[in-house]
Amino acid sequence: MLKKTASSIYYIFKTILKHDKLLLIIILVNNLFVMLSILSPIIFPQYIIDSLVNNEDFQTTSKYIFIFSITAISSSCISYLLKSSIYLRSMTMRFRMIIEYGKKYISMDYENFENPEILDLADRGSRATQNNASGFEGIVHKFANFGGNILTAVTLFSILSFLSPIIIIAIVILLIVNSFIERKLNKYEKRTMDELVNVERKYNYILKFLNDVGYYKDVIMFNMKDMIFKKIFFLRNIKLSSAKSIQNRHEISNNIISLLSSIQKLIVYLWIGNIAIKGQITIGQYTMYVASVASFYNTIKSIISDFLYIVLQGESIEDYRKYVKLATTSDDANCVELTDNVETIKMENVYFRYIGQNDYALKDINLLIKKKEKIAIVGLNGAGKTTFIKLLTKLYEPTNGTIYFNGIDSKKINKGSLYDAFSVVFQESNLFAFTVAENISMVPLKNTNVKEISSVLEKVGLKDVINNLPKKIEHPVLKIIDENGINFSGGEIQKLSLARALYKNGQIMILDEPTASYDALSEERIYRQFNDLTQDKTVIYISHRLASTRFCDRILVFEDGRIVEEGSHDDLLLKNGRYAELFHTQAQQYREEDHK
Amino acid sequence: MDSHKQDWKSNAINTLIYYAKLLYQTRKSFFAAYIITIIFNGVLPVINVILEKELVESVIDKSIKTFSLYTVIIVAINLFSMIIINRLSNVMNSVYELVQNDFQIKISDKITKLNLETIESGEFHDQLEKAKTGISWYSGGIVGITNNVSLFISSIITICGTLTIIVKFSISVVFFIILTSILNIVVTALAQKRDANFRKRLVTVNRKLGYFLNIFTDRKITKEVRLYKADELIEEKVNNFLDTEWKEERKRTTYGNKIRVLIDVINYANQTFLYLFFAWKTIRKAITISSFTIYLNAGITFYNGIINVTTQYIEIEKNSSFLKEYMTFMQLPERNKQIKYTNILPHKIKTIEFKNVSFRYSNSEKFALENVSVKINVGEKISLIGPNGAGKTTFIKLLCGLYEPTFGEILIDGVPLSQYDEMEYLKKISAVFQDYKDFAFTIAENIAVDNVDIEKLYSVLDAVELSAKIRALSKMENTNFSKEFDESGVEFSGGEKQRIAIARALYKDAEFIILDEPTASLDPLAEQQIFQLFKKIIDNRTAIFISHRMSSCLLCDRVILFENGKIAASGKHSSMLNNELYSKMWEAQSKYYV
Repeated sequence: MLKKTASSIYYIFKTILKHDKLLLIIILVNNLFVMLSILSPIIFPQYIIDSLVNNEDFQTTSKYIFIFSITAISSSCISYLLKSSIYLRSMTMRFRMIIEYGKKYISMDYENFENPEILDLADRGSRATQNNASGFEGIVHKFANFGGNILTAVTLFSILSFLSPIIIIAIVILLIVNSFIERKLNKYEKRTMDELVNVERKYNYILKFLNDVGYYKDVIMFNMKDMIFKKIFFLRNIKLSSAKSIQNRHEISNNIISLLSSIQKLIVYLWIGNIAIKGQITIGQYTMYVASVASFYNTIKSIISDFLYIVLQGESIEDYRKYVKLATTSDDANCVELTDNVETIKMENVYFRYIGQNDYALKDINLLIKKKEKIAIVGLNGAGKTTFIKLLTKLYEPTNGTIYFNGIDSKKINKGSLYDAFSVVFQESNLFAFTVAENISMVPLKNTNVKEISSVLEKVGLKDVINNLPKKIEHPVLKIIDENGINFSGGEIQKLSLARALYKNGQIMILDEPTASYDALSEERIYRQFNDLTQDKTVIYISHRLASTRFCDRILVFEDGRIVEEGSHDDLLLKNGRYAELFHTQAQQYREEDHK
Repeated sequence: MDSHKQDWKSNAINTLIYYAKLLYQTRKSFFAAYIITIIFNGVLPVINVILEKELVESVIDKSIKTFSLYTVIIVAINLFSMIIINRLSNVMNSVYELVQNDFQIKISDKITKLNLETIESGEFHDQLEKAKTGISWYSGGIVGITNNVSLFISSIITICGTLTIIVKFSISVVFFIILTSILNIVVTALAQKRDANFRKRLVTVNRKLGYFLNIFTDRKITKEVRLYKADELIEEKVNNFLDTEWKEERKRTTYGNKIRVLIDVINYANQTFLYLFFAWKTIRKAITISSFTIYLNAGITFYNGIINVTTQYIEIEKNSSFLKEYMTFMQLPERNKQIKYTNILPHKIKTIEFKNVSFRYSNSEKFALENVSVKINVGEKISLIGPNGAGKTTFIKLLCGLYEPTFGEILIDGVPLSQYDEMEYLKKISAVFQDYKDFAFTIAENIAVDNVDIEKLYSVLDAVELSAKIRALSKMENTNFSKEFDESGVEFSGGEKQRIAIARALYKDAEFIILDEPTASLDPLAEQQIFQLFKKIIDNRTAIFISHRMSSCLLCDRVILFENGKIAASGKHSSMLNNELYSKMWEAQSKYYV
């Protein structure tokens, strides 16, 4: 436990040292001013009061008053300025950490996304940078006071030990009892909340979809509201009754703590008052000791709670550290760049199984794809087509078997150079809240070839749509960043995605159901241009529209993770196997006589 | 300016009344607890100031007896008030917990009562976010504002209490304190004005920040980011955004620093003056040492009281502007207008007629549908086709009563739809939307909602050819759909989900059934199954089918072709082939299968 904490603290300081040495100095200096700002109102007033009691002249008294004021003002102001600088600097660092985290996320092995352990680690690690009151920033803010509090406590301890050990003992006993009660309370709270995790999850799930515009139509159409609200009120009541029981415990423990601290105050004040009355200390000292007792108690309390906070939040830092240290890509040192044109792609006895699954998603795939070949992949939903694409593009590594590019084992090929070879249109494409041009070029606007953008937009049939936008290709996409941004329809998104692939101009083009949301004419348009669009490219085309497969030189039919048939459209129809069955099923829908 | 101020005041008061009512309705005893707490918080500091004077006096007088007595009294009074305040805050907290929790439920409830058009509008998302932010802990929410009001009032009590102590001694000192506190207030108010501008931007900035900080970790995009090497682009965008916001934030903090230092100096100047003033009086023997403490403390408490009143006033202004967003959201016009419906919907609808119906989205100039007239007779099978964006889905939403026509009328058996109870009408219509959703509840609940009839359930499951699969599950129809709620839940494939959605539509027993692009991502066999289902099940119902698969037209009695928001042609498939656009579309797909 403490080892973890130590390691997380070490990591935090290492990070600060690496990126912002000044922040470290600011934190250190701030601790001194924190101490000063706590101690000055405790120590100085006694001199003022004593000088009054001793009937000293106004000049002496006012000297004390000015010293007190100047110390108080300067320590308060300086500490404020330092803290606000810590706020800005630690926030910058947190953002830097978020970016580092994000870059890791998009550069770590893609297969990690199938690994629940790593996803879990990533999840927990993200808590380190969630907001400025927890994780990294939370701990930094605590460190801005922590040392100062310890110094204050030590100073007050020595002040009070002049007086009597009994007072210190009374305070310490109260602190111990106090932490004991709080610990019990926290444990109870944590247990209750743990039991509630499931309830919370369900509750949040329901709230989330009720706030999601997408669900509205179904909820209204099928009159689901009563059922859903019955569920949510049921969950709410469980939540509230847990909250109530925690509240009640809080009340009891607060009362116990109040009672104990009253007893402590009684003992301490009577003791100090007593010796003041006996004349052993001055009136001024009397006020100082009274103030010291309260301050000592509070300082120790915040040291304890800050420490527990650091231990707790340190866990997320540890997770963050472990996550960021994950291997980026499995590229080892003797990887080669894929510089030449891809003449052949060969799969030899390739098997693939998802983590945690028993069945193979792909089995015994053997295949040779030559340059400029046009391959169609056909098969039922869930036959392994998309997995095949992920293996081919090296997002996944085969569980068994080897994939060769130009005869080189793909494991030995640098991922980045392989990615360059592919232009992929995914089944579900995503747009970013950047400009239209950037969504196509995927590089910053200044590096985008504007001419090429217009040309690919023309090819996919979006030229008019984009030219009608006020800012044309520089128009922002999505409304999340810019209110004037444009939301595209499903068909338009697919077209933009195709434009993106064309712009990239990779040697190998992969099209995963690129026309599912197209209307008949747009689909036909793309079909007609198919050869034009894919000239000189190796093409892999996944489609349920068996009309499109006939542009291809070769068709692969997938079933249950295997390639069950292979050949040209005509060959496969002659063979009268699975492909022919699928084709006739679809063809028959277009024959009027079959519907009579 | 003045009218603006006035405006704000009535706004803030309205807001306060709204939430006070809410708290009162939640628990009647809330305000009793609330008022007692305020009194305690207001009076206690005054009592402490007075008693501490006695304490110091007894030390100076060397009277151990009085000293002990006062110590006991102080400790006892404070303990007693702590216990009472603990009790009361428990009472209040449980009210807060309930109210705070139910805000989200109320927002969700409100959403289900709004128009689809409102929800689909661009501003809605912002309004919803603002309402949620308004009630969140982050902006103080209702707990914040009740605390503000409570502190505001108790500070006034404290001011009055300490004032009576000092005023007896010196009026001029009172004036001085008021003067410095006014100085403080002016500076604070100045800073506040600037801060208000920043707060206005806050919701938007946070939304953008959320987008940029989470963009890397959006699982949906990671494939694209990798294969297109978009990390450079994303990083640049994120850095640009952070740079701009960072500069704003630094400007804000630098300004805040100046203000804060200024205020600190004013506060300490006041304190120093009080020290000097009372020390001088003590040295001149005008007051005793013990009076020195009491006057000094009273002076400082008085000053802090004034400052507190102002800060709380500002906080109330600020928080009520946040809370107002929730109020505004809850006052959005609702779908069901609660008028008395003049007509009772016929038991069996014979026709639905669109008469010169036009529809325009509220923030758009172009009509999505223009002057559409069409009559749908009971029992008809209709196929809606047309290019992307031709108005098919808008037509369906109008038909379902989810949108209201901008111009023209929809007639049910000749009577305008607006004269019927919309919920009754919805019972007659069933639809599988293009973006239909499933819920992480049980299979039975997904299909039958809260009206489960096992026999009927399995008959629709039979119809969609899923009953064998469901019967094979250990918990059968009570199996959870997806693992979201329950580890033992079952994940279904895309085709199966689609069939469950169709089962839901069938179970509803509506006269009209609408299927919007149900086969876009299905393989040929699954598509064929859906087509056959359509023929088989929908025999005696009126059905409307939207698809980009032209073959669906053969399943239907009538084809309606949409183009640019208008009906371009309609009729049987065979006669439609004479239409140029239609025959082009038909040819485009069917030629590959000949």
